[in-house]
Amino acid sequence: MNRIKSHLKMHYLNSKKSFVIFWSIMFAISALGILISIYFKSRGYESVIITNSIVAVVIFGAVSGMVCYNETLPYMLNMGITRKDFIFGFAIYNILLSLIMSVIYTLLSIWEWLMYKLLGFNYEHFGQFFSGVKGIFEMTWICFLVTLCATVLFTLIASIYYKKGMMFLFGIGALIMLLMFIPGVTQAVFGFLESLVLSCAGGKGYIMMTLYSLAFFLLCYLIIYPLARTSQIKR
Amino acid sequence: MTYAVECKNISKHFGKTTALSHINLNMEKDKIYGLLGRNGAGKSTLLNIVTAQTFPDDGEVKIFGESPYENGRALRNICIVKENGMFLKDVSVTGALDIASSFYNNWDKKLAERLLIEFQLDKRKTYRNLSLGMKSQLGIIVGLASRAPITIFDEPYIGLDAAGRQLFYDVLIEDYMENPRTIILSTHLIDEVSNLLEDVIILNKGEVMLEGNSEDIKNKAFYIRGTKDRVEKHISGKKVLSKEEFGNTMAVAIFDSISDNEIRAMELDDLAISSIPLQQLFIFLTGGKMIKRGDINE
Repeated sequence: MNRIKSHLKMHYLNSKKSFVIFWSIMFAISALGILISIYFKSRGYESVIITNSIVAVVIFGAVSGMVCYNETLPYMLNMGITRKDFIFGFAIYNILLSLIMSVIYTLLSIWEWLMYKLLGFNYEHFGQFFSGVKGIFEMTWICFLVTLCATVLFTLIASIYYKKGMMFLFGIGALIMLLMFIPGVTQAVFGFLESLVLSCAGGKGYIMMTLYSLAFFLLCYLIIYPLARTSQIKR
Repeated sequence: MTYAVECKNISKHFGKTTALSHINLNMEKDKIYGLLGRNGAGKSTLLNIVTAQTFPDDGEVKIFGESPYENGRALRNICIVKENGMFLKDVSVTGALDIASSFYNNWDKKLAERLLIEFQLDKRKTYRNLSLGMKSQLGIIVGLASRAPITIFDEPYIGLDAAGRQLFYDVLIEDYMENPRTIILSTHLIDEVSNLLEDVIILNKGEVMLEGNSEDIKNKAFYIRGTKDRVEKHISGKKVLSKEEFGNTMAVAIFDSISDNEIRAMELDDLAISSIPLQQLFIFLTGGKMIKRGDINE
């Protein structure tokens, strides 16, 4: 357990700088948006203000998962941690990062909502995937799930890249593209994705989304685990 | 007997290149080993296998009697410091030491702080912003302060000046006397470390060329100079590493046991005998022209 704690401490120290820079930019953009809105209001603009920052949060999570895996696996092996402990620690890191990102995202959304309401704007928070989601908890939870899925997907890509190299990754990409040319495959894939999204719609959609995200998380780690177990330090 | 490090028949290939070929080594507890070899001899590959960072194609490694692969208990005994640092680039010196302190059970915080002052290393700087020498200093601090039962330094002082290297040797010996442990020092600067090493392992082209007590090895390596016929008379049957002739004079480097009687006989024949420094012996063994490997392999 101590090793996992040390592992998380390492991730904290490693990600701290990029994390602070990212959120500083996000809050600066938000403040700039408010200043621009005030300017437009002074010029008579009274319409709807729409904000969206979830895409940036998801992208940060994804990039963070990918970069951190490649950077910290050799480092941790050098520090004498087992690959099994590394994967366990990395999964916890994925979850914690997604959760913290979602909480800050929610705080940013609340701040924006308060500011625009105070300024008398008709405020819309664009970027939520399901119109039924209105509460703070649901907003945070769905942001968490989406960020987690993106993070774990890119962790999977990073693990394939680390183990097999860039060419193998390109090969997989090319194979997927080729498969898409087979008649019916594209329709089947998009049909499946559509039914997945539709099953998540509605007031209780986030429960389905939680189950799907959990399944996706476990599936990705089922692939990441054997890849990491056989990964070696690069020459 | 349980060895600190046991390598049994280790082989490793990278494509068609043989990095290690049937390596058999035993390293005892609480000794300082020198792992010497030219570039590409397989030193780093061997150390990566010992620390379970790379898998051997064949053979097995044991750390205090246990396989290190996916074995946290065995891995906890090892600290490896590499020439390329292996630190996280955006973490400060303080952060790097903080992380290291949480991984090594015997971490000596006071020693780390003392070395930070002695090396005059700026704690606030991130690893990315350190000079090459400073990066080496950080690695050395981690290695020494870890107090790991097996501490490995793989070319630890790239870019470090002579004063910095001397400080490293001094602290290494001082700390080793107080806290004995197995230290493996892989280096090119053989002359500088030759007095520190208790045992020497020379790797060449992925094979163990020479292994043994450093004093015993030094006591078998001699230059003999004198007139050609007299030198030839005395070196008959000895393992010759190098032979140079200047007119009627001959200088040979031999690697063999010489008894006191033989030395006296050589002196009576006006032959000059001097010992070969370890670095020169290393050059003869790994790059010399007259090596018969079968003769040298101990």
